[in-house]
Amino acid sequence: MLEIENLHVKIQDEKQGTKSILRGVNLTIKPGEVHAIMGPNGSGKSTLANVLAGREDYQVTAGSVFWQQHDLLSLSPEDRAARGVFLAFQYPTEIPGVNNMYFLRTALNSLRKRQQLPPLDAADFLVLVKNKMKTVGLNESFLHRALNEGFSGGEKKRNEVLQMLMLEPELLILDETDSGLDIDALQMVGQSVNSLRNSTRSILVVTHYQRLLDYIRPDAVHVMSRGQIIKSGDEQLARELESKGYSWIENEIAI
Amino acid sequence: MTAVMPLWLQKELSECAAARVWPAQIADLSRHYAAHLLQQGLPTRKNERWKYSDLSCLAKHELTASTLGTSDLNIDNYRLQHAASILLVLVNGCFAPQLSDLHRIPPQAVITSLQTAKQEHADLLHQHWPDQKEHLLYQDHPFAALNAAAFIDGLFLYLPDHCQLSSPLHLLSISTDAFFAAHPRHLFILGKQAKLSLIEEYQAPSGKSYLMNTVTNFILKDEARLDYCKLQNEHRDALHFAHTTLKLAHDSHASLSNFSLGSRFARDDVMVHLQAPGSQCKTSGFYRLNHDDQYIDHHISISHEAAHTQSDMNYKGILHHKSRAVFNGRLHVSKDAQKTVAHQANHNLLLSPQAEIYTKPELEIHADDVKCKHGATIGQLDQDALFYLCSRGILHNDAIDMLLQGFADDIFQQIADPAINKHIKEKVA
Repeated sequence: MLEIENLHVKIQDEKQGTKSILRGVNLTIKPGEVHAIMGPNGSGKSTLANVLAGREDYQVTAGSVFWQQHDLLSLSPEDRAARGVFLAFQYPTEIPGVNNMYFLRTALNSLRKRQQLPPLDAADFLVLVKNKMKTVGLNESFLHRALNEGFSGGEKKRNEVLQMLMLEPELLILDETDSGLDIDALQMVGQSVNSLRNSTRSILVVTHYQRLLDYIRPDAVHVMSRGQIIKSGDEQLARELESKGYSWIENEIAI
Repeated sequence: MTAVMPLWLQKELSECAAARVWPAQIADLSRHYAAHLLQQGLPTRKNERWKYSDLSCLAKHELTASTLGTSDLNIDNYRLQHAASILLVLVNGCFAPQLSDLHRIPPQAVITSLQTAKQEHADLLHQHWPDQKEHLLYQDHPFAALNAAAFIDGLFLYLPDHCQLSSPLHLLSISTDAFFAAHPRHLFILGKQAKLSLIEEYQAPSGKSYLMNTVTNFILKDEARLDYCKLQNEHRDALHFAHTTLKLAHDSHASLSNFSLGSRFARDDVMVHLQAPGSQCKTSGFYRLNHDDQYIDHHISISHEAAHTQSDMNYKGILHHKSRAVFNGRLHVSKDAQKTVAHQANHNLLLSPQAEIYTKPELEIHADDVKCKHGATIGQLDQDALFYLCSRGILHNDAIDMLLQGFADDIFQQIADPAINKHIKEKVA
């Protein structure tokens, strides 16, 4: 279970000094649930996703995040990953010189080691990864390329989903994985996430569009605005947002 | 103003040992440079080419001429593990034939000590020895001048036209003693269409606080191919000087990769002369400084002296702690060298706020129809990349290693011979 309570986060901006981004976020995702967060640009959705994964640029000034009863904020990014946290990045970093396959195998075996599992040997790994590459629609040649280097936007997203399928996280956070994807790719993301859905995993989907939620049907939908969750509901809320826009809710709250 | 020259060095120059063992033509030059250096003294920081070098390290110990010594080295530990090679060993800078694979040298090739070459291949030796005019350059290169005054021996390689060695030549310099000064001098001649894959390696299992001062001359005739990889892993108290000159004839290609890890003070000068159309040279290098007060200095100079010549220079460095590195890449395109293509790049990662890198591109272009570009960067570890790797469960230190390996990856890819490539990767990792 993921429990976010009254989370306040600031960022040190070179020009504007300290800027408050999250201003009291409360969110609980139970095992087996899929929650979606929607909201306009700059509302703090990506910040929330990155804070959960452990990016250091952010300053948590108040509040707490517990994941499976552990204080998530006290853990390093690699320790969070070892506890099953996975963020599919909105803008995956290009890392020249680091081979994609070598990276994936190192990551997988590093997590397996923490779980006291034996490392996967090269042959077993190859069978596994080739299988998953078919699922996400990446050609095998991508294994031998540098991590994300020169990948198109869509290829980067597919590579994120590939990592997700390989590492089988317990807390899965998708940060606008659907943006910039064509319909086929969108369907692939939906199917891949659904294949991981079970009674223990928690999934948080950050998105601008209702489209992805046609494939990944959420148990709850939250609207974020100016660093707070201002409205929650079921998947019907996502449809209303799609037709009426965010200003509808923002106006409603203001009233 | 001249820097104070330590007494042992003054003594070495006045003795001018080379003049006693070499015939007049060479001995005259030796005396000339000994006298010149004694009179001029060592360069100070006012000399642009020595601006960042603190040569006071030379005075730290009194050094004496090196000897082969008795060696109970298990040389097999140093061999290339992944393929056959012809191993040639120098101990404390002196050629050790009993440790070398002389029996594996094919009969058509000449590979011998310079002293033996003086007896048996005098014509070849004198025909290819740098003449007085070229030696004038040595005024800017005091350690090459010192080598000229003090060298006794070294290696002589001659591959006749069309000769190709079937396995790489492994030139291994091992230092086992302390407080010696060694001045090996090598001459490599590749005949027309001859082909050589060479790895030169400096290791110091037990030696320390010594001076290794090597001068190497390569002459490539038409369409010759040279693949030359150097690994400098001297003892951390050692001083390492290397002066390498390459002369390339028509359509000859040379590829150089340098890996510098060891020594307290290292200065590596490479001077490439693309003398005829179609000649090409790739130089690449990786330096990694791991200690406080470690200093590694590369001065690479490429002269395009004829039309349709190409060069590529790509050096990368990683600096830890309070280390300092210098990179100076000089590109000279002469008036007649039209259609020259030349690239130069130097990229550095500083892993400590106290590390210092001085990088300087120098392009001097006298022709008007050329393509030349250069670039230099100094940066730190990419924090976004580090976070990305860690967020996938890779441990922080492993992630750093991965990024550092990734940074230098293209330099390692320059090593064409797979056995040498593996060997270098194992030694540098």
